[in-house]
Amino acid sequence: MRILLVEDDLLLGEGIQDGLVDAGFVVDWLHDGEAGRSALQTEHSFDLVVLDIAMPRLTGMELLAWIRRHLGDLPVLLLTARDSIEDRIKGLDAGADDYLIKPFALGELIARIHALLRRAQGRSENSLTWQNIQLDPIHKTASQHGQTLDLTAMEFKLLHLLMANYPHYLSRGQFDEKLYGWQGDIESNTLDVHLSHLRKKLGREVIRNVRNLGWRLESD
Amino acid sequence: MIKRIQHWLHHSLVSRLTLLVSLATLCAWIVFSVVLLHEARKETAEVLDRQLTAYADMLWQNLGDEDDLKPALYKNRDKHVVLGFSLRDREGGEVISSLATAFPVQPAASRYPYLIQHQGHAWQITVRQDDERQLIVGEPQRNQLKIAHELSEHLGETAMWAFLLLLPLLLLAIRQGLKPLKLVTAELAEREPNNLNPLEIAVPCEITPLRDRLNTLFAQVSNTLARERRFTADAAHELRTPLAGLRVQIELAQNSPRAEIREKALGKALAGVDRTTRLVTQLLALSRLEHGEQLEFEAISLPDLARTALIEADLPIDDGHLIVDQATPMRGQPILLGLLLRNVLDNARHYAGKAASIQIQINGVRLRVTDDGPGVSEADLTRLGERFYRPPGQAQPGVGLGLSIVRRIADLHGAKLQLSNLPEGGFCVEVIFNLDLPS
Repeated sequence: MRILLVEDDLLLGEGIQDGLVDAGFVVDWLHDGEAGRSALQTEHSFDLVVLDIAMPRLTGMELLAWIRRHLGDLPVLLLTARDSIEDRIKGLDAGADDYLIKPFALGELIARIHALLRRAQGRSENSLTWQNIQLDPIHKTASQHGQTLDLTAMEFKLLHLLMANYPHYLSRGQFDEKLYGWQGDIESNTLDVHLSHLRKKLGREVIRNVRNLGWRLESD
Repeated sequence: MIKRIQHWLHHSLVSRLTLLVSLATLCAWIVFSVVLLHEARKETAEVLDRQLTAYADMLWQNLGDEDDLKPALYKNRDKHVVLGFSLRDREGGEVISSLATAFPVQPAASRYPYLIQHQGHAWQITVRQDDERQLIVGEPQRNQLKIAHELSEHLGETAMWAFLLLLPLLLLAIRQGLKPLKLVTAELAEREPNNLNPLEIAVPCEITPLRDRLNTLFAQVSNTLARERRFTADAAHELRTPLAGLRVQIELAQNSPRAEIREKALGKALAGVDRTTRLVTQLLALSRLEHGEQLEFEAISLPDLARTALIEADLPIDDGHLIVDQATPMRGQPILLGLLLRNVLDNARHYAGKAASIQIQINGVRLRVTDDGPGVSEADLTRLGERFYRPPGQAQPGVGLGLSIVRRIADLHGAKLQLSNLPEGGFCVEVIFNLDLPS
């Protein structure tokens, strides 16, 4: 899952980025609201935005308003140091999906991000189920027919993406964006290698590739 | 006792007004009564004198021959005498008298009554005489006084009753008159403590200044509160953000599965502690400056202060870093000026880049700190010095308080602070001191 972090504080921004990467997310971090807006304008593969309210150039609130106007219901989690009830109401009224007051525990931020993604994908439980495959994004475990699957981190991410986006196809470009963000120096065949390994573990027929469309899960 | 009365008088406007108005009324009454009594006495005396004259005339005209007079008739009626007379012959012998002791012979006739002492009493007498006889008619003066006293007693009693009747009326009138004041009090009493809206009540012109002053005060307090609230909110943000950063880094150091992240996080946490310490130090400095006591100025030397600041900032003290054109003796607060210089130098080092060269120039009352860094944008130039304002895209760990502190210290010294970009590139902070320091 790809997250856009917009936070002007270096210490905090870097910490959140590292923490979210540890938790299995792909995180792109920008330092001001204006940059955040251009990123959201040009790239559409972000699953969630973590937004600081007080930022130079374009404040978090202004960016939030822009997101609601142009990107519909993309989940947004606000980070703020303002803890008054009025501020919280203002943030939620402006269209934030959730609100976290500084300082916070990384674990809580991650849990709230999971909850927001779950809600955005219309699930009530954390684990994703597709036919006989189950995947728990929090504990990073997956099973098929009740048998635990032994997946590498990249394979797990691939399966997660395929399950979360079912029944849509994911193109190579979308995979690259979601898996690497802007950090990736991706070799052209890396994705194919990982997908082929995943196929071996799940069964050949489970992942289907359609030329020009991309990949999706499909049995039979 | 006097103190209690004074306290009571100061305590209540109604009591004060009642007492003062009563005293004024009483004084007016006393003067009025004295004048009235005097007039009454004069009038009484005149009336009685006229009566006496009339009696004397009547008696003189109706006085028959000596044979008709029966002296025995009048003897021994000395007590409660209202009117008395004595008739004397040419030689001064007593012909007849209504008194036990006849009036003494008078030197001449007198139509106008006058006062004599007779038998230990004062008498108002009038005298008629012809070649044969002299008639002296008199009236004890105490009769006059008695009437005057009775009159004054009546007057006093009436005045007292009138006063007693007036007192509650006065109280009522004063209470009624002070009603607008009560309106203001009631309006103020009903207010929520955080309601600082202006009072919108119509009041008489005497209370208008009070109401207006209150409204001005409300506005001032409201502004101060808003400013403080903004400051607290900003300060909270600035404090909570590095704390959040610290917390996240420490969590990473504890829990990250990646060894390099754990190690990096510890270093970051340390930097975060330094930054938070710097912020707290600056907040405390600013708070002391905002709420500080009276400053005590002393003789200072700008070049000496600049040298100290350069040493503290770990910069060399050579011609490239410190240029003194002219050192003017002046007064100031050396600790605060040191803080000012330190903040300006810190800013220059942070924002101009590591390679930039920083220079202090002193020329009389002008102190210039310049660097050859990139300067700031025109839009940011106007906002620099606002608390917590930092130009966007800053990678430096500042909190936007340094220039607020510099500005405040300059203000306290009555000095002018000018921030500008240099035409040849770089940034310039100029402090122009004022030799006439505010006392």
